[in-house]
Amino acid sequence: MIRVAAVGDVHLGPDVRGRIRPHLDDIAGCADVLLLAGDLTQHGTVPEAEVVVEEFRDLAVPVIAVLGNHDFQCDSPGDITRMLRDAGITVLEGSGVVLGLPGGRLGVGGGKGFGGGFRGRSGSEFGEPEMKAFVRHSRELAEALGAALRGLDAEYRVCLTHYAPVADTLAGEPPEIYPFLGSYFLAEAADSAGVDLAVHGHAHAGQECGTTPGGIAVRNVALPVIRRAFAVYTLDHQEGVRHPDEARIPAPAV
Amino acid sequence: MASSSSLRAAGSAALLATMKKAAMILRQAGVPLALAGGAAAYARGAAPPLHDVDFVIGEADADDAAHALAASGMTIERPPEGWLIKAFDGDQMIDLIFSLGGHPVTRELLDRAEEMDVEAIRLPVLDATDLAISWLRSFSEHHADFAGALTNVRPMREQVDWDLVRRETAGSAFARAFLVLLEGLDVIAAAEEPAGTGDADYVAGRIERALAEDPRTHELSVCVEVEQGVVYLRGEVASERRRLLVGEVAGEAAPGLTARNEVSVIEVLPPVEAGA
Repeated sequence: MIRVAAVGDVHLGPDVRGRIRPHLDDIAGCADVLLLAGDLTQHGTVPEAEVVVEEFRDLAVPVIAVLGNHDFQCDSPGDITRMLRDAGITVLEGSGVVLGLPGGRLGVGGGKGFGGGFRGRSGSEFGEPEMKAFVRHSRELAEALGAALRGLDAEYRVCLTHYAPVADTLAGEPPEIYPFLGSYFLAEAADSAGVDLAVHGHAHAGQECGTTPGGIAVRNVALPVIRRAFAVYTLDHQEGVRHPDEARIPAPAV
Repeated sequence: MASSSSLRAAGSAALLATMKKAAMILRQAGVPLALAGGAAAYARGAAPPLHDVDFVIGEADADDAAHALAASGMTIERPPEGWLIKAFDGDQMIDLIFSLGGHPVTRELLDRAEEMDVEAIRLPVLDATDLAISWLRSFSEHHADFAGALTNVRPMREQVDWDLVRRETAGSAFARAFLVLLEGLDVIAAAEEPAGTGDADYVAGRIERALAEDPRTHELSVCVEVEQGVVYLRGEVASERRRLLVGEVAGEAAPGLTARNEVSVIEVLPPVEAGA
């Protein structure tokens, strides 16, 4: 059994400091790993990344992050990635990592992902070069993510992105902006690898729970959605719990 | 029926006598005041008040007013609400109010009051528009009975600047509901779209872009709506500083419009374990 803690969209900065850290001291008591689903900073600056480092460094559990669109705003994703890695935080982009945890080997494949929309209502690589570039960028990021996920040699596998892989977890956002919130390419990547869980952020007004077309549980862990320092999902093949928090769902009445 | 209406008349007469007495005492004590509430509506054409008489005064004058009325034999009560003093002249009740629907009574409000003949004396009476605003602002979860306000508003509808009332009460759902009721009953005309409202979508778009692109904010989750010349900002941000910056940037992007910053700061709760 593996307990996955996750939060996204913390949007830290010098004016938002020390808000999550106090809740992380005992994290090993309830989780085996912490995933950060992007938008770690508000403006994507180095001073903000320093606050992120202070907040999440030297935890009792491994920390794995992807960046979000806010972390790209000041053209410093490379600096931010380096700072996080120097602090011992794993940063994924079209890549994966396998952790030997007490409950088994956990593989996490991650990347920021991008927009484009969802099947039937999505952009395609057609027309103007700007439109082609937009959709191509999304597809290429998702392809690298899918390859990373399929390459994970682990008992449990999790897909970590900033952008949403499905529209389920966007309910509450205006439908008109769905193409800016995620892409079905990401769900396709997760389904191609048959992972146990897909975690994302980005959609502040969305909802927590959804499912990919292939039946993989999707969780939107944006802070404004979960409203707590992190959410915890349990993966347990022994118990036959495929749904990460099935224990919370009451048995259907006969 | 006859006896009931003469009882009403007798009740009103005693209350109006108390109103005149209190007004003279306060005036002699040098307390600037204006008639408000049902008594002001009476001065402006509505039925006479039955239960109490409201005066508005500045909070700084509240103690002087209370002393002067007590010296003339009235009993003074200071209710826990903190925004009024009650004076009893025998059975007759007077409210001395220094905050109307959460807005302190200001010198400007008292200066706008109009000297009118009320029961054969000259008294400053709250401006009709201010009066309507005070009623609409007073509506809340606990006080949403429109009947009294409707009775008071009907006879003075011509004296009120309803566009100003709409703007000043735009933040209250109860006030908006009451205005819809007034429109439906043909007490007032339906709101006309102010000139340039066709641009509201463009204004909202400009503010949204400013909030997303301005280096001070970079906020993509703030919802912007422009209605009747008022910009509503709603959503959640991570700190009080960011909340204030959202207001600042939106204000700059739409100069001349009133911005209502209803954005809140998100609170981070402790984690909860799955299955808990």
